[in-house]
Amino acid sequence: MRTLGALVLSAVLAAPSLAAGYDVAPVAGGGTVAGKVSFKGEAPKPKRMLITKNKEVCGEGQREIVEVAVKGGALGNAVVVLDGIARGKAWAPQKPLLDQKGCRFIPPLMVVRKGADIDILNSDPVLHNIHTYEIIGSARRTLFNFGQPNQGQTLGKPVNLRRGEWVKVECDAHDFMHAWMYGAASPYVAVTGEDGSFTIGDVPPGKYKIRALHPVLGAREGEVTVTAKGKAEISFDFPAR
Amino acid sequence: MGGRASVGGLIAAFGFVLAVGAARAEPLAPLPPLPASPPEQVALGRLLFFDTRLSGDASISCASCHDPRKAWGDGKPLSTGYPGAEYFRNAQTLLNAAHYRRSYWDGRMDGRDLPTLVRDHLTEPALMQVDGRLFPERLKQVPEYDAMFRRVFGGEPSFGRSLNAIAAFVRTLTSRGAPLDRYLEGDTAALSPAARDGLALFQGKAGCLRCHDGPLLSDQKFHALGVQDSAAVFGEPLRHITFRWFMKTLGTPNYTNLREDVGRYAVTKEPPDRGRFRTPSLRDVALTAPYMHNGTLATLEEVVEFYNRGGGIHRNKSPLLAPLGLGAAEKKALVEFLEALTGEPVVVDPLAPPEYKLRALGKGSPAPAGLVAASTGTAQSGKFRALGPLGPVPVPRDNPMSDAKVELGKFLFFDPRLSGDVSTPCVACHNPEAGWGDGSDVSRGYPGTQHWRNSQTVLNAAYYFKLFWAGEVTSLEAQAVAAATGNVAGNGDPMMMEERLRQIPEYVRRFKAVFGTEQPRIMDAWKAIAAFERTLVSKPEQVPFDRFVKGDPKAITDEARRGLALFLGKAGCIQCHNGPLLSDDDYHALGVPKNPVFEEDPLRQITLRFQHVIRGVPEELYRVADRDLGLYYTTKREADRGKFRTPGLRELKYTAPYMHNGAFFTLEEVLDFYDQGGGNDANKSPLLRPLKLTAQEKKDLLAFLLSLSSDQPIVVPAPQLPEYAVVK
Repeated sequence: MRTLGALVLSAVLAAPSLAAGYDVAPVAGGGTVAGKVSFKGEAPKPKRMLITKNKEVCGEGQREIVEVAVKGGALGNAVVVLDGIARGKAWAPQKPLLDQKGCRFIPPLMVVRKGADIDILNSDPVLHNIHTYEIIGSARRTLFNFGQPNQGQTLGKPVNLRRGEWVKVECDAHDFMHAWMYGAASPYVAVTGEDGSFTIGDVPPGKYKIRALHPVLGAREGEVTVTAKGKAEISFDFPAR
Repeated sequence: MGGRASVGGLIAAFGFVLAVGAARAEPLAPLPPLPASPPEQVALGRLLFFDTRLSGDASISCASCHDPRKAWGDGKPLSTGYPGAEYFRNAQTLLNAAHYRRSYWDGRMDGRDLPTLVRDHLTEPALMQVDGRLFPERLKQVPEYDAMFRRVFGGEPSFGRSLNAIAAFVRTLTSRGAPLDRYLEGDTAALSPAARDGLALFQGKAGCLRCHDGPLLSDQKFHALGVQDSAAVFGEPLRHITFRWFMKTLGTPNYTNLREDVGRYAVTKEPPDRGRFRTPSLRDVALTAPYMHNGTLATLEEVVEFYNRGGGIHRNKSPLLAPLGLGAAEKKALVEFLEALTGEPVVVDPLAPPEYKLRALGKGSPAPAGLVAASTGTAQSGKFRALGPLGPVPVPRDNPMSDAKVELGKFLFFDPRLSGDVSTPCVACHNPEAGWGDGSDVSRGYPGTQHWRNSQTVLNAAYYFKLFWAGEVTSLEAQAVAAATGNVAGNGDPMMMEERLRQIPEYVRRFKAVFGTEQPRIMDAWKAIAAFERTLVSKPEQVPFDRFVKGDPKAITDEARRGLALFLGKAGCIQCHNGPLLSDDDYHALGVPKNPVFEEDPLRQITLRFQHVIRGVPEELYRVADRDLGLYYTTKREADRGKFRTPGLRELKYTAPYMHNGAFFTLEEVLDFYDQGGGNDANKSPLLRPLKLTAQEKKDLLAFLLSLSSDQPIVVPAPQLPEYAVVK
């Protein structure tokens, strides 16, 4: 079972003007927002798709595609976003890297800054043809799509979201490879762990809208008030459909 | 019995095998009966066998190279071929052909699968070179064939049925009552004394039995004899061309430099097989001169003398061949024995094939219910086909529905192995979770490509008269193969895909259950997929508007009711979106705005130009191609530029984005577009004009449009695909 811990919260350290509407200014005496995202009811079973090609690299039998990661009532791989923060802490310094290895996207959920350049690496000795889509309501729009036939090839591409927040990641050459990316407007984003918990630190004191987002289950909204050096707690529930 | 005949006679009478240095040779015996062909299929197959319209240019028939007057061969050393091609091997007799396990001189196909063997002949460029979709259309133009097929198969002429009928006929061409057979059954007078001597030599000193054994007088194996190569094959360009195409298709190494017919080697690529050919049956051999794979031995006497010398020269020559030391009388006896292998004549008189007849245009086989060929009514007449629930889904008579077929079609719909590189199943662009489309504005393509049009929903596609945005094909079956083989879609080679299906035991089992074939045929895969698609339809009880039409006034909101009135009146949508499908099956240009992806994505531009190439536009147009010209590609009429087929309006809730290029992501945008009178296009339909809708009226129209969608999205869970298994 893939560890949900292997999630990367990353974005580009760049000149402030690059992230539209967000300025980097060090936060002194910021507060913390923490909490838990739960899932009520029976989790949908993972999809299973037969691996029909490149078995020496991709493995054999059925590939499990977990869209809703529930463990003991906790929802992992959900994204929690604090909205409306125009100035705050810096983005994480590393350039995001999406790897294709063993015919899997690693990480399966990656948070990136909207408009950021990311690197896409093919670690496998077979062709991968990454195809990313911006999700717009019930529809989608290609962001980028290219083939990497050689092992070790890396190519950088920008995640230029226009209207949406979610990016679906697929491989045109392997129909059992699936992943997601979330395009963040500010660094005040967290991804829940296996136990559903999340923490967002260095929050400038204030009152904010907070959302828990899941690519398949939708969104839950709330409000938090963060005080200097204080800790605000909030939980979210996703009931089974 | 005289002393001369005693040993040989005893041996022959008891069917003993006594061969010098032989392994276990099978006793000579009469041929076992084959499973009987249905007589009505045989009659139809016989007509087709002699019909030249089963070749590409309607110039040759099966009988051209398998002539009943020439013992079902053609009497030539090397056969002729399709016009413009000459063949490089001898045409074998069809007599008893159904008994072989492997067919052709090189055994490259399964002899048991006669329909596929027939298909190979029909479609091979050097043989009959006909497109399997073309000749059934010819057959349909012949009322007698139409009637015969319906009588025999319960449906109209088709490729598969034709193959079965011809195979049924070929299966009846067997040899019976040869003097040898009568002799083996106890009639000692059936063989002359010389022939009896010949039999003894055959089984003894001459050693023929070692390869020519069993009821067929063939071990059905492959041996090299050192037969001299035919000067004609490499000396005549048309033959050499065919030879090369053939060797190339089989992937023979170094095919351009070959100056010998490498025989089975081309099939197996095993060096010991070089120069080996299948042992032909000796039944009726006296009738089927000239002999050998290249017809270089003209008479039986020459053949006997050839073996008497120990065959020819070849590094793979069978060790069974050695000089025999036969005297003149012995050679004569052998020939006489070989002549005793001639069965009763198999005579079939060719009947003159029935002729084409004109059909009333626009008519023909009655159209299945629910399909309308052209829109009715004009803006002035105001008479449009009524809106309402969809009727029963149309089902073509040559692809009836069954649960097992639908289930098989579902598997195939989800199976990436029905694409070139096993990456792109139907579901990749027709995803149930995206309203059975691709969910994007312009569809994805095959890996390394992008598509150039919006992927339409499969939902209710069964009701369209034609499929694709510009009506390129006329059936779901045709759409399936076009998409699976299309270069920017599935890009699959039909033969490769068929071979894959044949190594998935679950599919072999299912295809046999549904279609009765021993091995899956790729043409049946499209039928199964189409049958599955015919189940993807809106159910009236789940559509608010349909419930409204059926008498429940509360089924739609007041907003939607006002929207319906606008649809029929002020907004004028009914002029094109009419009938239960809400499409007139006609083509209109709206001036839909360009999608910027064609300026942004090189892959899209490649595909855009590629489409212009394959659709055959003048070069100047290809050079400036910057947009999708729609119906123009089919008609080449300037007035048809930019026209696309009116899509239906059901299930819109689930099928965004909209238009042929996905220009609009929301229905609100669509309504705004029509409100302003469409866009800019020289061919824009005169039916489009500014509507001057108020904000509330747009909301009402939107509510009506949404009422045409099922309450819940129609989904099918992905099946668990079956796996390959090694074939033994």
